[in-house]
Amino acid sequence: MTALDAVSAYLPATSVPIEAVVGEDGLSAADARVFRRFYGLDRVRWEDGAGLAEILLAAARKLTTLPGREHLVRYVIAARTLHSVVPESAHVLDEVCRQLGLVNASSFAVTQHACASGLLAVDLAGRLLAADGDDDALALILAGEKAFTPSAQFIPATTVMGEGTMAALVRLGGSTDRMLSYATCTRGEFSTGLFTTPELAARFQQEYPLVLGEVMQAAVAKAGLELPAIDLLLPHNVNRMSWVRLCQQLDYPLDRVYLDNVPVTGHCFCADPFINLTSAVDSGRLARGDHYLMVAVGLGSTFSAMVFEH
Amino acid sequence: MHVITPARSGQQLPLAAPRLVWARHLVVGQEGRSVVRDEDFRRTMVRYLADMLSPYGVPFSFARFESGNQNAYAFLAERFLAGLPASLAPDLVVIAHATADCEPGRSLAGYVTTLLPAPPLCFAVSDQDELSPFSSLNAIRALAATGWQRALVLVMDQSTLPYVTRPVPTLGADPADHAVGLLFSMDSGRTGRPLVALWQRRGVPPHGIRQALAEAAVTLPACAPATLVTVLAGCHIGAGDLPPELWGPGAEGGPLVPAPAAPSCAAAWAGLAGLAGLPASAHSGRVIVTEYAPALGGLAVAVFDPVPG
Repeated sequence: MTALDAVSAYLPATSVPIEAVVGEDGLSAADARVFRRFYGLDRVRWEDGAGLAEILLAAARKLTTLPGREHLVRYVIAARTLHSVVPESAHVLDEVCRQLGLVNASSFAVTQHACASGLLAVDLAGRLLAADGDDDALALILAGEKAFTPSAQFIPATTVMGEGTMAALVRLGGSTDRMLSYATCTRGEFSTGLFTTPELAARFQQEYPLVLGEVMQAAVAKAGLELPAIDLLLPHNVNRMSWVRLCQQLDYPLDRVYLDNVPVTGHCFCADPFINLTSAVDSGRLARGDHYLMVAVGLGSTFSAMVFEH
Repeated sequence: MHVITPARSGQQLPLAAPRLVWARHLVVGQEGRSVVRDEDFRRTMVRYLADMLSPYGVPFSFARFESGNQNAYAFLAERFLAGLPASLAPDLVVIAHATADCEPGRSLAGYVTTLLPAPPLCFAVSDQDELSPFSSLNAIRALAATGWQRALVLVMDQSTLPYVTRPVPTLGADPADHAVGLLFSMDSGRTGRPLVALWQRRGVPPHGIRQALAEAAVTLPACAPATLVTVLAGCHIGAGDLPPELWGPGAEGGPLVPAPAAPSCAAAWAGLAGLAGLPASAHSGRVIVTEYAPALGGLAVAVFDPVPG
């Protein structure tokens, strides 16, 4: 069964207030005040002077179970929010493989589920490993991006982006975090993403909690569980407000949603649920056998949820 | 909504490999192109692309952007899917591309779901230069066990980029954009060419292609005696790179078909889509598609067997 063999997170050292993205092409000062006062956003971590390869490598090098098993890594999959983030000549993943000594790995990016691509990558990795039939083989998932341009630094009326990253080793079987189910739904009528009409943006706001709630419930049901049996929800870190509303709608206790990182990291593209997993484990929020639900939403718009047993 | 249980150990390939039942190569120039008219959107796109290139020392060329085809991947997908018979609508779509989209603001997967009668699972594979289509094929092969019935691998290339990182092969003087669609059936039927093998290796130098392909050939499933084997070589593989082992011990030496000039991803697959133009004997034999990604030292092979008799 698809399992997370190990997960690591990297948070850049530089912490900046969300007002750093206020400007002519940036966030409005009014939005920033709303973000701070009502959305629970405070600061984000950025790594000036480091490229995409460096911040992904920083997470991968924290994987304590990778050294000595580099030869077993068959796939390196970058889960991307933005489908175009570097010129082709940069060959970021090739650099990552070279630096980590992953000589037997095929590397590529999966995109188009936007910030939900991370969960897609986990499922795909498991299926690739299963199809290969090698139970010892591993896949390395990488997520997190550079906030390199205003449209990658904030989402109006929603969030501010940070450059935290994650690395996850996926394998089949083992005693670590086992995936139990995956649900995903793409609503193409919102494919214009940031460049939408006010009417469509309003409709998205209206439908967001309904669709996401359905996807979460579907994933939980497929795992043979009910929502109250989910011990911890590892969310996207877009903002706190959206989770308050969703918890009210689903009658799910807010204190079981791991929101501690929202004011610390901001929204780190596809990496949020995985960064939250490492934080939750470090802070003792997950016990052996607990069930947790990773949830992500990507602009454009894809809603995804994945159930694990810790 | 797609709701699935995880892959399990021992869940090998499905008994029936994905079978290529339909393929088409679409070439789109500047006629009817989908230039974004909204000024705010255009300004944001230009800023996005310029900011994306800047840290890597690649200058953005507004002149190249303005004079380019500007056929966004969403537009190419729309043009392509318009020609796909409704009876063949896929429930799984994997898009393979190498270059950045000239219109980075739109969700390609989201848009594709609106073009089909039932929303498919759709995602893209990139960042592997010429080998992205091979990994896309591997993805649909792995996902076939999950129950999808029909998968489309849509290989797309834009040839007029607003920056220059390497020479882009073009067909004649008119650089066009390309979309090649490969439609696979994943049910238990017997129509179409089964995708029987995929092989990839990294770190292969140009002078090592021939040796690496000989090693790949040993791992390929044997074909029936006297099977005609056609090799479709991508634009970075020459006739001298192909070892005799590729045609296999039981096979008849078949034709080598060089890829048509197309940028990056699409070349070898355009050749596959064009197989209908070959003699019937070639159409019925084994087809091997191989491509090399020079910048990565990546080499890949895909093997399609004849339609089962």
